[in-house]
Amino acid sequence: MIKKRLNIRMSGLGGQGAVTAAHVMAMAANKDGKFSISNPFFGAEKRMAPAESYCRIGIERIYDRGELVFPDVIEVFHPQVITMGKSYTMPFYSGIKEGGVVIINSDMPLLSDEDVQRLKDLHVALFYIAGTEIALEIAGTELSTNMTMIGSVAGITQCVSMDALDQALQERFGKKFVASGGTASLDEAIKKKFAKKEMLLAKNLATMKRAYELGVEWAEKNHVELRVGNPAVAA
Amino acid sequence: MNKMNQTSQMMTGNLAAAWGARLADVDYIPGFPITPQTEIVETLSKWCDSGEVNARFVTLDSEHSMMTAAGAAAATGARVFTATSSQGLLHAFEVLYTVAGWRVPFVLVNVSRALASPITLEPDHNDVLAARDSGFLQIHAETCQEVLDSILMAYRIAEDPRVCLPAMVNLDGFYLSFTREPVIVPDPQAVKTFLPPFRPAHLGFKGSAPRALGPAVFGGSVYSYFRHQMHLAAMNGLQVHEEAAVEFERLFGRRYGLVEAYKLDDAEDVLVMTNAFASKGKAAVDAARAEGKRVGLLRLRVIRPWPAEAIRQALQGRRAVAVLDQNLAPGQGGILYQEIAACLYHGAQRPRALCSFIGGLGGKNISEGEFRSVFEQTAEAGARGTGIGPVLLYTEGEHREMEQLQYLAHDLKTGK
Repeated sequence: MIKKRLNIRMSGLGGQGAVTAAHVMAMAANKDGKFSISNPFFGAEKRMAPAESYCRIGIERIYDRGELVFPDVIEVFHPQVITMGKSYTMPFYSGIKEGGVVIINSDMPLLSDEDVQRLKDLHVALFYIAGTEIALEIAGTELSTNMTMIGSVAGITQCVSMDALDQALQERFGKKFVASGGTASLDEAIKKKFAKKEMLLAKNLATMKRAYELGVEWAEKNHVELRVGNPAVAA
Repeated sequence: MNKMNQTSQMMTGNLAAAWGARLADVDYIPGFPITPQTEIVETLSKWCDSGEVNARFVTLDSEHSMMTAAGAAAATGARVFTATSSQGLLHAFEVLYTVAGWRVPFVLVNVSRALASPITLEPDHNDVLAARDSGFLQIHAETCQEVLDSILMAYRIAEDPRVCLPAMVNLDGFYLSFTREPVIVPDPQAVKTFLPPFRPAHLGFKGSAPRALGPAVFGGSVYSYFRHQMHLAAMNGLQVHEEAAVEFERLFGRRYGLVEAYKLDDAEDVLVMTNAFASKGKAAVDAARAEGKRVGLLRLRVIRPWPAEAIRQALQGRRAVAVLDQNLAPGQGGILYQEIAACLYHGAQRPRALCSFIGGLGGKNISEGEFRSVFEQTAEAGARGTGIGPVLLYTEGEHREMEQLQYLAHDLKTGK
């Protein structure tokens, strides 16, 4: 299915980087020459509380704003979104469009038979990714879980390119080294800090890339085709 | 495809506001945090610390003090920027009127957030519209780009000797404040052409020549004189805005009107909205047009001074007009509805029906279905020739949810 716009809803918990993930996606889409807009929603800003973010990517100017009620893709960053109902919408997949995709970060299935059936009835494809495990394995920190969520949705839908994601990550987190103008030892310390940052960036990118590849592979195997583009041209 | 791609950055409305202050080369920034505005003063404090902004950043103990400091600094001839939101704006209320009376130009950004009680963080416009009679000019922005651009325009208009009043730029909490969309950062050199350094003839500080601003006057005639002057100066803002808009377009290629007309040319019914939700309104206009309805949208941008003539021009001869107020004056209805009704009264070709809708309170979504209902009810009113309202928008689903909450609360109370 080729659509003029792809609406992505990211449901996570405070501290997981769902807001950052939507931001990086929107930046990448902008770099790819598409229109995009991202925004978060949360109540009190605290860790492990429900936090949602939305990213809209399209080929035409986007007039829609705010809460995303009818997403094409839902990404669940944490099992508790489902198991403990830490979501602003119940069930977490409410509003999902027919032919959509649900991506869940979990190393085991979480949905009841009833939920699975309801998603099936809507022709919604369900993808589990062990995002936190991948983050721990490649980046050495579960903080990189959001990179796997970015990578997987990009891999499955091709809504943004890996190249643009790389650029977006650099822009968001990379900083050029500037000599302090102070002592040599101070410069050395700053250099070390930047070297560490560079390394972190590389690890995050690798994490994202791994999830991207998993997404591509899964989409091909399961014939999931959800793309952003001009349906008229495609037809 | 997106032509702005080369030079635009994905930026929140808050960051765009901070960029506006930075490009305006402000001298003094008094700050106090409040969600969802905090990112603005946070960013500016960082830039002041790193030297990217050459201004004095001061944290105050409250918005009341903050606004006093802003007005006092502007009275010395400094270019001043500050920002607040919601309860913070209300806390500064006494001072808003006071500093406007001092006739000191500066820019205050308000990030709209609905007022307590109950408490929420999301936007509606009861906060900013409560300040509509304070003497501050008001520009309400729809996009992050417009936030940045409007701050530059606000300085130019406020500092014009024909105006000399403080100005407020409004953006919606969450819907703009935390929303990232492409923003072009104007060239700093071009901004200097648009907005030369602030050199007011009537303001400044000299120890050997002390002055008083806004002293006590009795009997009413002196008071009336100065208040009349404020009104006339604010009205001058209409012309000054147009001049600024022409120059802004010449330098930056973007044109801002007092109001914005969206697909109005052949529209028989018109929806009137403000701020970020107007984007949703535009999408709804497109959807209705796809079904063959001849509808359009008028977005109010400059709220003070009130552009009565521009509004009349845009609305005259229409079958019906719906004003969608994202505010509620309890016991009255929609605030902007009243102002629009007043300015249409004297028009010869006023619309056959004027309808009032209240929506988006506390950031409540306005769904496609609600917009469709607004257009349908407005068309019917137009055919009938009598207006309706205020209609309080609330969906069946929302009502059901609310009932569930009430059942829960009742059970908890009665211990069942």
